[in-house]
Amino acid sequence: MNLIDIHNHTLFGVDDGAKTLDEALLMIDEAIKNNISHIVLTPHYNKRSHSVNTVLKHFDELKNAVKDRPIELYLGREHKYYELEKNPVYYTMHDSKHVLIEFDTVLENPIEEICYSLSLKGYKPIVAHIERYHYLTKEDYMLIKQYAELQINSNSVLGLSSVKKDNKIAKYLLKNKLADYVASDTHDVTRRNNTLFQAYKRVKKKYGVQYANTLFKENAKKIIEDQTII
Amino acid sequence: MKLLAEKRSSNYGYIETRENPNSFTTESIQKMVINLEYANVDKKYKVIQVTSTLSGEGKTTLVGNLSYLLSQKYKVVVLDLDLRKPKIHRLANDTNQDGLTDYLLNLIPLEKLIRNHKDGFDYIVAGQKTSSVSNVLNSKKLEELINYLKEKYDYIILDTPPVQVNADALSVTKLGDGIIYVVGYDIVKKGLIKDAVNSLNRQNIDIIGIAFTQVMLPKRKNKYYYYYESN
Repeated sequence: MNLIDIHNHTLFGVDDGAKTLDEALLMIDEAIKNNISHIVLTPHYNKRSHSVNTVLKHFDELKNAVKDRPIELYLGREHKYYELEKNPVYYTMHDSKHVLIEFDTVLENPIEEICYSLSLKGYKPIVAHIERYHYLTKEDYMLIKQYAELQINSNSVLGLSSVKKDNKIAKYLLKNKLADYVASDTHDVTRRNNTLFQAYKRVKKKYGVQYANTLFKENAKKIIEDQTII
Repeated sequence: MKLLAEKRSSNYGYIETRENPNSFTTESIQKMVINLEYANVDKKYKVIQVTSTLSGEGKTTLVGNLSYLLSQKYKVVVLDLDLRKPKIHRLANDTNQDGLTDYLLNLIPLEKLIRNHKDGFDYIVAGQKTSSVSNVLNSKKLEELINYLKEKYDYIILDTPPVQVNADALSVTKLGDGIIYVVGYDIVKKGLIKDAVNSLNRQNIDIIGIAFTQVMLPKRKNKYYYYYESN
C-alpha cells in the first residue's frame, strides 16, 4: 500500500497553496513521485479564505484533470480554531467525523478544552502540526490525546523546519509514540515542497516499520473509509 | 513510555466515590465529610471554597467526590469560579456553555444557569471566556447570586483557581465562609504552601481543613485497611 497525505494545500486558487491548475498538477506529480496514492486536500478555512463554492468547483476541476494519473483525491478542510466556535456546520475530512484544526502558535489556546467540546459533539479532532505549539508541556500532549489525534509535518520529522524547536518536539513525539499522523503540509513545489516519502523512510529506519505504517498509512486509511455523515 | 503512560489523566466524569463505594479513597473522603460536619455544628460554613497551591493537585476531583457524598444528605450546588481553566462541566460530561459569565452579562436566565447532575447535586459551569476575570469575581451580581443560593441550598461549593497562580482565589475569599485547602502529595515545595496559607490567613477567612490528595499507599500492607475492605 502507498502513502496517504492528509494535510496539504494542493487545491488551487483558494488559499496560500497552489495558485493555478498547472501548479496544482505539478504538485500532484511530485506527490506521485513521493509514492502517495491518496490525497485529502485541506485548504485553509480562516479569516482570509472562507469560500465554499469555489473550493467545490476547483475540486471538481482538479479531479477531472487527474483522471489518468494513479491518484485518488478527497476533500477536507484545515480549520482555524476560532472558526469552529462560530460555525456549527463543519466541513470535515471526506465527510467523516474527523476535523483538522490548527491553533495559534504564539497565543496560548485552550487546545484541550476545544478538542474536548468537539468530541462531545461526536467529532474526532486532529490537531494539525502539533509540534508548532511551543507553549504545550509534556503533560499537555497526554491530556490532548484523550480527545484528539496528533499530526506532525514531514519537514519537522526530517529536521528541515526553519524553527529548530519544531524538529526537537517532533523527535520527542515520535520517540514516545505520541503522534498519530505524519502529513506533508505542502504549499508549493519550491519552498514548501512534498517530503513525505523521505520522512517515511526516516521513521521506518529509526522507529520501526510498524509505527511508520501506522503513521503514514493505516490511520489515514481509517479517515478515508470512515464515511459516516453527520 | 511507561512512565508517561502512568502520568495523570483527567477523566473528571469518573467519580470514585460513586463507582467504588467500598474503596479506601471513598472511606477517606467519607471521613472528610464527617469531619466537616463536626466542624460545622453551628452551621456557620455554608459557602465552602476549595483551593490549592498550584494546579493539578486534585481540586476538581475532590469537589466532585465531596459533592457526591454531601448530596446524599444535603442539598448541594457546585459553582465553577475558575474562569481561566474551567473544569466543572467535565464532571457531568457537559459543555462549557450557558454558564456563570453569561448569566452575569444578562444573556441567560437563572433557570438555565443551574443544572442538575445525575448524581444528585446541582452545578453551575463557568461559561464563555472573559478578559475581565477580576471584574466578574468582584461583581455585585455574583454576590447576589450566592446570597440567593444560600437560601436554597445547604452547601455551596466553590471551585477556585490555585492561590500561587493568580489573584482570583484571594478575591473570591470574601464570598466564602471557609476553605478546604488541597495539598497534592509530592507536588509542591513546602515553602510555597506556607506562603499560600499565610496569604489566605490574611484574608479573614477560616481554613476548615487540609485535604491531602494523590497519596500513594503501599498495597495490602496495612492489616486494618484490608480488614475493612473485606467487610
